[in-house]
Amino acid sequence: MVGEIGTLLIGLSLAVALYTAYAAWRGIHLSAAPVTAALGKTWLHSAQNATNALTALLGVALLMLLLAFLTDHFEISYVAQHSSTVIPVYLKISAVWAGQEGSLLLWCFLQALFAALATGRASERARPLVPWATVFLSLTTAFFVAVTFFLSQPFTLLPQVPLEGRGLNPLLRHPGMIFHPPALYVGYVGLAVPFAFAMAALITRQIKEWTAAIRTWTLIAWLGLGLGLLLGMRWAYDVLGWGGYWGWDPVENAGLLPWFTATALLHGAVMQEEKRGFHVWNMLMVVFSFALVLFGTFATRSGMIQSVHAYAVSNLGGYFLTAIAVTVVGSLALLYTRRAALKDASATVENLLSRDGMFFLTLALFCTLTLSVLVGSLLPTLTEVFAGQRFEAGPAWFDRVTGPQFAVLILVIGLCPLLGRGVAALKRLRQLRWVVIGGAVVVPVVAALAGFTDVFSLIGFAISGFAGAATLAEFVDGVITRRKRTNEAPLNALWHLLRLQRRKYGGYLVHLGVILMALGIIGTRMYPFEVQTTVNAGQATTVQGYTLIFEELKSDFVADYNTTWANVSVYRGATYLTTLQPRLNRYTGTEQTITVPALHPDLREDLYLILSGWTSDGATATFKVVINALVNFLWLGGLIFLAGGGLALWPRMENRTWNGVALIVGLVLLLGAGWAMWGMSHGSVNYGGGRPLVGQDAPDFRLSLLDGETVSLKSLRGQIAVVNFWATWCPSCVDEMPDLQEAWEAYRGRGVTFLGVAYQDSETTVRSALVQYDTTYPVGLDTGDRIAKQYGITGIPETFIVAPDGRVAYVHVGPITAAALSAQLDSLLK
Amino acid sequence: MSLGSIFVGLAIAVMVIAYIVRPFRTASGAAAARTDKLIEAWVRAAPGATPGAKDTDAPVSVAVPAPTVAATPIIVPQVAPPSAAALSAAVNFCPQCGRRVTADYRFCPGCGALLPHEEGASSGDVA
Amino acid sequence: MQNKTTFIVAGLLIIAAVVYLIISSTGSTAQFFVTVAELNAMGDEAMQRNITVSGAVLGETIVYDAMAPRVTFTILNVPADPKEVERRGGLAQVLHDAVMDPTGPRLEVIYNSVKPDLLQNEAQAIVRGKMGADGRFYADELLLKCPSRYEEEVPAQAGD
Repeated sequence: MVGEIGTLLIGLSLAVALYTAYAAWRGIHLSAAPVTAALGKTWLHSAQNATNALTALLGVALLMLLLAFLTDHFEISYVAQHSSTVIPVYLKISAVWAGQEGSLLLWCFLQALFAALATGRASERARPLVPWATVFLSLTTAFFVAVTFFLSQPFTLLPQVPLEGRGLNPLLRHPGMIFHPPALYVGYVGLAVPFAFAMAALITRQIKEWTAAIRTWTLIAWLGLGLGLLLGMRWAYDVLGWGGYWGWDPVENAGLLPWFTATALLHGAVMQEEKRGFHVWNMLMVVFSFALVLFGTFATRSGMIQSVHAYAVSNLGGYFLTAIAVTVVGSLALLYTRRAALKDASATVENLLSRDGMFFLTLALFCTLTLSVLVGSLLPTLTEVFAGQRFEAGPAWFDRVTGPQFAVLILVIGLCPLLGRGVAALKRLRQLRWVVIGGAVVVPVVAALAGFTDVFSLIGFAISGFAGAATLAEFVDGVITRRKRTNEAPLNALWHLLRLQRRKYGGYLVHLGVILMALGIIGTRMYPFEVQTTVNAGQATTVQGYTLIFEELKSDFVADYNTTWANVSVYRGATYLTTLQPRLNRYTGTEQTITVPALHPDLREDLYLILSGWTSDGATATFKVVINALVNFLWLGGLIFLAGGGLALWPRMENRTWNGVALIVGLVLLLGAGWAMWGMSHGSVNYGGGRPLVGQDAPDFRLSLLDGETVSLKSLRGQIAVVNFWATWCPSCVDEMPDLQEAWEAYRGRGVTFLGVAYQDSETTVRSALVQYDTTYPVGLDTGDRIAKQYGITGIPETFIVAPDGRVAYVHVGPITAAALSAQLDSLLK
Repeated sequence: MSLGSIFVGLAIAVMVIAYIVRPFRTASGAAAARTDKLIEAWVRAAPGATPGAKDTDAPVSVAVPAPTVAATPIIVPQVAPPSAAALSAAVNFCPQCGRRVTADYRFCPGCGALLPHEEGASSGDVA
Repeated sequence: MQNKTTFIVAGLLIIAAVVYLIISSTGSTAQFFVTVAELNAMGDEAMQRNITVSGAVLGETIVYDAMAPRVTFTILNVPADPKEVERRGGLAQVLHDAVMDPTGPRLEVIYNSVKPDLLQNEAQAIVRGKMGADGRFYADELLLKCPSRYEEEVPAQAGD
């Protein structure tokens, strides 16, 4: 029944959406004549009600799908494909948008919600545009609902109810994947709002005010897209296991392209609101943003773009293509008919070397970037048509084409605050010349000292330093100026500055974030490092200053997958850093395997370890080691970027409590994200110490023996010490006790001491075990697991033989035999 | 399609439709009366409204100008704007529907068309 | 007026620069995107350039040496034109047909890295690399798409 009601709701939504468009259109025409104005208002009121109803209908449909997942309604085919009884609740929720049908339903709901909010709660400035905007928004919603209802039903039933679902695609079981699609959709759907209002502005010839009218919506959409892209990058980095975060895959580009045009629109809007023109440009940007959104959805669902990311070739391609064509052609035609009004409105821009000029450059560059990435994504088709041979644009192509453009953009970020309007412009540049030159010099020098010496990267660092210095100077200057007036403490001044000029300083924060991200991109792209290495258990290998010891291979069974991982201790020189546990998971439901990388983040780079393969006896394993230089600047920059966007979005509030709450919530979110990235372990475990290498000094410890005495390892210098970690609850440890006793009796008095360290055990059980096995060598309890941590114990039993000079001579993991002990001791005693 | 689903679906549809047509039902009463009053106010809002003709209950039709107005001195230079009496006295026809109107009407009470006015007062932009 | 010209000139310069970047990159770093049949027909010319070739994986030919690590497998011809693919019944069908056809053009691929999880029978492989003198294809990059038993998006794990 759940499924049937859901389908009915979607069908009803289609009817309501079409009615909304009609009602709004009718209302507009009736309002034109004074006699029928009141009737017109009634129709518009009805349209608004219909918009609200549409939101409710689609919301309930989405809720029903969610409920179906939470209650394991496997008779619904979509639920059976993406869920199972064993996956945790939070993953069941994100499974709702794991596939095409569900994600389309989410899209429809968001579309209706945004339409209702944008038209129902429109600002004063926006209100005249609302009727026509309603028409366009409801038509868009109708299109997506029609596609969902006729071509991509989420609620189709299976003829037989399976007992268990297929389970969520393991690649999607990552927190990033829970938020990545919704964030992206907020961006995609959100861009429909500026588009609708822009078209309304064109039709009613009120072309000056529209950017200000929907400023908040444009910002929300832009930020949503940005968040979606960042989450996607982090997900790729954590989960896909190839060491990178962006592959210039056409599906990735599909999200990037509208983000470019939306950024251009944001900047153009600033100019338009300051009465400095850019009207035509903004119109074009909004049209192309929306068209690229449709194009993006189309590209991922048709066979037109070869990509391993794409959805299977589906029947939706043609319909989206038609929609794109209609949108672009219609909008451009409308633009053409209003060209006179647009030309009147445009102001003239004066100097290229001014703030306006910088905005012009910004828009121009984002346009060329959009074009470049579009050409790159379509290169096979284009080259086949023009050159007769299909070429494909790989990452190298994209880096080469977009790299210089990004570099110039960063330069513009730095120049813009320095160039005011007119003559004052150069004065400011002169005032700050030392600051910006300093930035442009310090950063490359620091980088070069840290080992980054490639010339092009140094140029990139210089530009970034310059831009960063210029942007930071804006903050400092703002605080100083304010303090001159109000004499506040610097921090107070900063707080008020941020509070009162949210758009300006939010924008500067975003710029700072972008500059940091640029540093990360330069590091990872220009200093790639990757190596494959095969190691035996217990062996060490050195990579770029890190020493990696593959200790052992382990296996376990969790929920619906089998996991195998390797314990790899990581040292820098002699200092223990962490133990990485790269793993391979084999899922029983879908027969899929995924590699889960382990990484150790650092300011300078990330050590990224992947378990590739192993022999069946676990004695040898192959690893892929990737060093990602400066990658954490990318993530840090991303957080600052989001913080800036959030600040820009925050409405003007005089209420201190609300502002305070917002600040705290924002900080908590940022800290939470930071903790998720750098605080949480990504496959790394800190055992307090790695297993000491053969040849290294054995860590000193003090062991309280059962007979009351305390012995320290240091005091045993000059003798051979056999240190055995064991416990009574461990069967293999118990098995080896007779062997140990035998060896003790044979070698005691020949300069050999045995020490038994009981791990997580109790005195009574230990004592009785000693009695049972006639163990006479000294044994003590390792209270607080202190000694185990020093020796990097990951399991028991483990035996260490320490030579008379205090260095580790032999390590044995697992139960040891008397014969093996004898052999080792004999060779040491020679 | 189970019966239960059909019932629930119908119930939801009915509720939604009721909500959507609500404005039409509430509007028809109050809004119509308001519209009538508005039209009347416009129609009567010529410069210097005729006193005595302010009877709002009277049907809005071509009214015979009140004879009391004749008491006001009409000896005015020609440059002065036509007095209310003059306006009330002049009879025009609506260019759109042909109805008889007097010059002090700005809008035709029959078809709502804007009546051409010497003083050039425009209807004002509904910006 | 003079200022307007500056802007137009600046705009044109930027466009020219970007066009130059695009064309020169296509000339040097872009890869030939071919099918197995096209690659076999190219002959010696294939050895000069970076090539991207796509095909269907023949599962029984997958040989994996975990210690090297190296994986060798054979891919079979799959048409590149999406319309052709649609005509023949969709990508899954085309992949299946390719694998079932014993006479179709084939290419042996050598990939010196870990075996990707998605390398299985009837998977669609997109291989980037160079043609060797021995007639085998030496891959630098291997991208795989899961066979369309799963009808929805399954992002592949790229091997680099």
